Amino acid sequence: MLDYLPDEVVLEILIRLPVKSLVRFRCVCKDWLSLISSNAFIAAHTNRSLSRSDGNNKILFRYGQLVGTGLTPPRCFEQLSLRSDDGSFGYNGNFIQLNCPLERAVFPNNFPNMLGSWNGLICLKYYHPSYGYCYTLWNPSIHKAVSLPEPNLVSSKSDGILKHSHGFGYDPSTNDVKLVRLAYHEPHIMKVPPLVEIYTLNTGCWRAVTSPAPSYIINERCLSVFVNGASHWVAHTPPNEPTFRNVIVAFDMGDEVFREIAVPNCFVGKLYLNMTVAVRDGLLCLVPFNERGFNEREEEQEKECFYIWVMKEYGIRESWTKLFNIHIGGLKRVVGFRKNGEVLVTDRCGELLSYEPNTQLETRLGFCKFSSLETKIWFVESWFYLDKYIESLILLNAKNGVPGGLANRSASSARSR
Amino acid sequence: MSSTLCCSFAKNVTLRSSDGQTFEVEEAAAQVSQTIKRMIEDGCTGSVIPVPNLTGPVLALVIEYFKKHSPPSDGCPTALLEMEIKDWDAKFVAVDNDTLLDLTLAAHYLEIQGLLDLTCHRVADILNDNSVEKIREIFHIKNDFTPEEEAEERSKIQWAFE
Repeated sequence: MLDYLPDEVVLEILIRLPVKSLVRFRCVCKDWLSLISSNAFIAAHTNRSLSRSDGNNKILFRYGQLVGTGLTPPRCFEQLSLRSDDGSFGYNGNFIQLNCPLERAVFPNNFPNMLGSWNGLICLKYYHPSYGYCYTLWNPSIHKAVSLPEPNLVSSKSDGILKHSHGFGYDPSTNDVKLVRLAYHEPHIMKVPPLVEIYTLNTGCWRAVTSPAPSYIINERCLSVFVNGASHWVAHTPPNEPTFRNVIVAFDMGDEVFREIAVPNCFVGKLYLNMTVAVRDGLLCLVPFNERGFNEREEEQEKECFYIWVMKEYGIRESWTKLFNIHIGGLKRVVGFRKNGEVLVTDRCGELLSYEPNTQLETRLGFCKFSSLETKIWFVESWFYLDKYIESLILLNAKNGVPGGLANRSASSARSR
Repeated sequence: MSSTLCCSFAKNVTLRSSDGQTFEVEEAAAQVSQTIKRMIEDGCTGSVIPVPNLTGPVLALVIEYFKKHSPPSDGCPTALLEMEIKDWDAKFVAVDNDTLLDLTLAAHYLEIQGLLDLTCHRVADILNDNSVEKIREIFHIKNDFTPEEEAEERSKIQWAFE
């Protein structure tokens, strides 16, 4: 009797299902296979999950540590996991470890660089000795990773080595996932604006961005943040000129145009501020770090400080508001903000701390695998990343999956060399 | 009905199901359906309103829904009333699968967004943890994959069956 269940009604039902069930139900019949795999369904399902993600406290959490002993090669440990942003932060073992389907094939020893994530879709970059920089999109919720084609801008003997910065995000107007890449040629990094290209998942290829590139320098190690439909980086003019200034560069994933966002007045001309951008409650944040204490003179240790600024109205310079300072000695970096208002910070021993701004108390979360007090340890370097996580079907219908995609890519790259 | 006071002023309409059964219902209650609301606005109130996609038993259930969800006479639903309606809704869709799908279709044809949300949510809950075979049974769907095609699809997504 239900042969006539209209497509709209089937869609209304299926859109309410979690990702794992939907992937399984593609085997129900051919109609369901094509419906669930369609771009329109994937976008509708993603948008519905996004609009209902407020109560979700699932986070994507990356934790890595490098320990040098001086005697043996450094020991490296790295893990990507899904956790709950609750009291223990999943430290009691309550987390799900994520393993990239590409991981074992391509990078047996090292985890690749993480360029960013967007609601559970992860963008990775790794260096392959034969093929140069390779990019991968990975959606852990559907166990699928896709290799991107080779970018157009690569290092060459004549132009010199490329330094690049990346932004990863989503364009809701076209339901498209995008990766933007700013490539600077090393000897000219201070003088020549970067060349810019963009990969979009819907087209499956890289193309040049025609809008004018920013004439600022973005630190290669500066991770971008995606907020308000744009990627954001901390940037500055050449440091040895009197007109030096700091700025936030934004790239809008919709119209693909670069814009400039002013930093608070008190930070515009400050040199050597180790600034980062972040997102807190969906708002763009600036976290300048006064590292003055980090020098030989012990008495200045007290003065090092993180300032947490938030832009309450996006793009309005006057809306920059200082929320609070973090005055704890020995800190290294602000990692992110938690739902309960606490701030995650790392210290120089590689430990992760949760800082409560009202009481100004910090809690050690116990992520330091190797104690720096352990004898024979020369250095401990840790890195952490966190972002909110929702399950989505993005990449479900993407071609060039794993492992076929990697093979295809390798074959074509090998031919061009 | 608790609101006997206003009954004398309420206008009624008559709905006729596909199998010819007729039901009288307050006009305000029937307007929970956008489809019926449009028909009333177009001046169909004088005669019987045909509802050709619904059989008598299904239409009777939908009218139960209309009555529960018609706007309250004083215009401001209390929190207590909302709680009561939520409970009522949950019981209303605790029916056998075929009836549930009939109600889903009725909500679609008659454009009753609240009922469509309610029934689709319930259907999704039922489907969620079920096997592919069970889904085909619930929806009366014929498997149009060849055994080879189905095996291939399944092999690609082994993890989803674990």
